[in-house]
Parts: sequence; structure tokens; C-alpha cells
Amino acid sequence: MKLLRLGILPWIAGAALGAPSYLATPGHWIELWPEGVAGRRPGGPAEVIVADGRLAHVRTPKLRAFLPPAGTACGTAVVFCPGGGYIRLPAQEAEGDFERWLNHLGLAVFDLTYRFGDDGPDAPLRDVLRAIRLVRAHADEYGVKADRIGVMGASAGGHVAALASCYFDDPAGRTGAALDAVRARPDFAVMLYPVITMQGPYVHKGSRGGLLGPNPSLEAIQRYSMELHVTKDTCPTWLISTQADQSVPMENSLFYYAALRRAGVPAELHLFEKGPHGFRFTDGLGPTSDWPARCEDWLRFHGWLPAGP
Amino acid sequence: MKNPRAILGPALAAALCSSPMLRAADPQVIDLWPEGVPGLHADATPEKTDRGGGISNVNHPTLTVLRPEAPNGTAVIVCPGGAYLHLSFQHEGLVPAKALNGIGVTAFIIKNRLKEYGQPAPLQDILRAIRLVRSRAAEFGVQPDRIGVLGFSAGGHLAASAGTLFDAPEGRTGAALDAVSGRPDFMMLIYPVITMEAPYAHVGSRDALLGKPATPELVRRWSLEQQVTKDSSPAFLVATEEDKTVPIENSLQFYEALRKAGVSAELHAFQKGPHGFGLNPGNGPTSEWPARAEDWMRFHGWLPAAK
Repeated sequence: MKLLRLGILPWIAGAALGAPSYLATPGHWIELWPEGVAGRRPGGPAEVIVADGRLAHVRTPKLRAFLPPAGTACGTAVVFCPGGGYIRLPAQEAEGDFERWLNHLGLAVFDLTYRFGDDGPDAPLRDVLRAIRLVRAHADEYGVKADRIGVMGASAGGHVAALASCYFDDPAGRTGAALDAVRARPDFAVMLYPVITMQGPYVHKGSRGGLLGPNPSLEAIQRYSMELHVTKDTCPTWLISTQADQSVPMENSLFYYAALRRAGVPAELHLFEKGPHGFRFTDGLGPTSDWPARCEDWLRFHGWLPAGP
Repeated sequence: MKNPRAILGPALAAALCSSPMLRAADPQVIDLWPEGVPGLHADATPEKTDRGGGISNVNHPTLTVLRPEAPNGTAVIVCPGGAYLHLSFQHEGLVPAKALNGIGVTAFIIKNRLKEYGQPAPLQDILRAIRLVRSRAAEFGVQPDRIGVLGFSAGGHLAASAGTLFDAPEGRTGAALDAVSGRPDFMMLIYPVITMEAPYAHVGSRDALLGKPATPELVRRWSLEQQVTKDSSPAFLVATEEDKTVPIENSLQFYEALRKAGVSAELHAFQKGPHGFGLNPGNGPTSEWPARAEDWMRFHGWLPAAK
């Protein structure tokens, strides 16, 4: 455990010094829909940065690439979907903790600024599938392997990751663009305290409202309750939640895991005790705080990270 | 804890594997029922030990004490698996006990009654074991409020029955020790048998514990996911998708019940590892479960904080 902690140290130190190492290769923005945003509804609310510095009402979805320092890339990429209850997302500056951690491991990170429900409930799905297709189509350019592109999401971003995991072949994800021909299935998914269900007592109502609006139909609720849509082709998945999460009940992870299990999809689930919703890299939460090491173990086990020393 | 074989001294391993008789220098063995085994069969035949360290036909339950060099006051009673037919006393008894010694825990391996008696004899044995260790805590150098159980497979069912049915009338025998709490302070369940209900029941364990055919009342009583209350012991669970013998749903259902009852619990559902992997290496992240258990014990204060 001590050694693992030391392994994580460099990127934590970077954060503390205010000199994140990833800035050696500054994150650059990538337009997701250069041909025009798919399914964009005319009018609607403007994209504004609210008081806490986050973005409300994403109208122009985009990607921001954070590539590992030259010579350290392991060939694996992750499309990262931040959380925010389908009502907010980080604006110009990512917090940088996930990016630093993954870059330190040699992964290329692509932060996704995805739409909420403003353009209809399929907008986030379209955005995440386009993101995966884009990274895959340009894999060589980014120094990643086309068959090692995962999706990672926290909280409502976990729901976006689940959308990609289950609906990678859904007609709603195709827009008639040439890129439709590129495979959109993520090769793996990592979900932290994810929103999964849109029904029953364990729903995160805020996320449901943000994606489906105030009075969703039963049909919509079922379509976006992702525990109902896992198939044998859903990608291998790693999940973590905590008992102490008062926002998104851990049952979201538990039910998604049970669905993966029924479908025979390889998956690893860790349910810890301590840690409020959105704990990210908070220290002092007991075994929960070591989740990055658990996630690395799993990525290594599957060969998405090179074998340890 | 990386390689159990490296932990278990070759001399000790040889002694324990080659001979069922423990010598004076070997670990202390305590009779669980000095006043006489409750319900002892008059026609009891001798216990059997196989060459792999497996024990069956248990009539005289015992605790084997393995003391650490530097005890930290925590005790764990180890419950070997074996479908309530036999006890995997080496692989799921001595090996984890030595590993526990390595982190300062005083280990007690239970040799409990099995199929020959059926329920509730195994529950009586494990509760007696906990009561005995608790009542003699000072003698063993352990704290009476730091007595846990660690169970593998059917031993996980035994450990979980202690963690849920510690107050059950079936577990009392009228002895003075009944007055001592039989509740374990924590339970660690590794690929445990939990349910006796179809479709996830391990049929071998069910038949051995409940007999054939079992009444629906018996099935419910010993389906431990149905016996969880808010007072059940905090739990640590490990199971794998690959387990073809005891489906991981046993752990998932038990975890869900603990969660509903508001009991602290940690669950690790891993991919690789056939049933009975014990402390074997080579199963990817699964093989690191002893480190996860250690983290969990430390988190709860059952192990001293890391330096």
C-alpha cells in the first residue's frame, strides 16, 4: 500500500505545486461536430458560465485532449465524462486531477463537454459516441491504439459512459456523417459513483430532470435506465460506489453490475463504506481513497496498462 | 501475504500435512465442549484426515490457536470451507491463519461439526468458539471487542451465520457460557455460501447442512440474506465472476441485505479466480484480497494504523 501511494505521488505533488505536469502538452480543444452540431434545436438557452465557474446549457459540445508527456504514452486512451447532474459541467479549465492521474499512467485523456437535455435526451449519447469515433479515427495522431479506447465517467458522467457502453450501435448515435462508419464501442468503461437508473427509489432526480425534463414518459425513463440495456456486447466495466453517498445511491452501481453479470460481461465492482458523493481523489476515506490503485490493478489485469515492475 | 507457501514454514507445513496428531510444540488445540459435545452421536466413528489436510466426520469440535510473534489484540476465528462435508483445514485454515499471524492477529481455526450432525450443530460450534475466546480474552492476549470471523465458502456460511444468528435460540445449549456474547465484531467472507434458496444455493452445502429434502422453513432460516438485521456484524466480502460452484449472487444478495439494514459493509466483486482460490497467487487483482481485507480491518481500527 505504501508503494502504491508513492506511485501516485508525482501527480499529487504536481497539483500541490500548481505546476501540473500535463501542461508539458497543453490540453487542446477539438471541435466535436465541425459540420454543425447534430440534432441541435434552434433557439434554446444560451451557453453560460454560472457563478461557480461551471457551464450551464452546453450548446457546442467539444473535446479537450490531454496527452501524456512524450515517450511515456502506453497507447491507451480514455474519453472522460465529468459529472454535474446533467445541469453543469466544468467550463474552460478542468480541475485536472483525473487528467493528471491518467496522464501519469501514460493514458491519453479526452475530456468531453457533452450536452444535457436541451437538444433532447439523445444529445449526450450522440456526443459521447462522436467523441469515441473521433479519437478512434485519429488514433495514430494521438499516439493511441484504436482498440484501446475506453470511456470513463463520474456521477452523471457515469451515465454518459453507460450510454456509450450499451448504445454504441443505437441508431440515435448515427447522424449520416462519414464518421458513422467508425466503430463507436468503447473498449472498456470505468464508472465512479455513477448515475445508472432513471426509475424507482434509487434514481438521482436531478440528473433525470437534466436529461429527461420534469415529466418524463415511462418510455423515456426505461430507455435511459441503463441497467435495463446491458447486453453481452457491452464493454468490460469497472465500478466503484460508497455506502456514504447521499446523492446517488450505490444501488445504481449494484444494479448495473448485476446486469453485467447476467449478460456475462467481465466486470469488477468495489463497494466501499466511506466517501461522500463526488469524492474524487480525497484522502482520508480509508480503503475508498485507494481507488486509483484498484482501478490501475484492473486496467493492468486487462492489459490496458503495461504490466507492473 | 503474497505467497502463502512462503509464510507457512516448511517444517510446520510438513508436520501438519503428514500427521493429524499435533505434537506438544505444535499449536495449542482447545476442546470446544469440555462438558461434553451437545447431542454427541452415541455411534460416532473416528474423525478422518486426508493427505491434503482435509478433515471430515468431526465429532469433537476444537479450536486450534496460532499466535503471532507480535500480537495486536485482535482475534480472528478462521472457518475453513468444504460444503459442510469436510474442512479444507490446510488451504482455508492454516494458510490464512499464518497470514493473519503475519499482521499481528491471533488466529483460531475452528474444527466444527458437519453433515453428520447438520444444523444447528455448526452454529453451536462457532458461537461457542466466539464465546470461549471472548471469555478467555485476557489469557489469549486479545480484546473481547475485537473478535472477528473469517470464512471461506461453506465456512463463509458458518461465519455469516455467526454474524447474523448470534442470538438465535438454536445456538444456545444451556451452558454458563451462553451468557457471553456470541456476536463476532466483524466478519470477512470469502466466496461465501449464503443462500439456501434456488437458483443460487450451493446444493451440496444445503443438503449437508439441512438434510434432504429440506422444508421451506429450514431453507428460509438458513438463507442468511434473510436473517440480516441492523445488529448484524460489519462485513467484508470477496467473490469472483468466475466462480462456477458458489455463484457470486450469494455475496451480492448478502451485501444488499446488509445495505438495507444499514450495516457497514465492503464488497469486492472480482473477475478471475475459480471457487476455492484461497490465498493462491495468479488471479490478477483477486489475489490481492488479503491486502484489501487488511485495509478494511485497519480502517475500522481492528489493526493499528499504518506507520
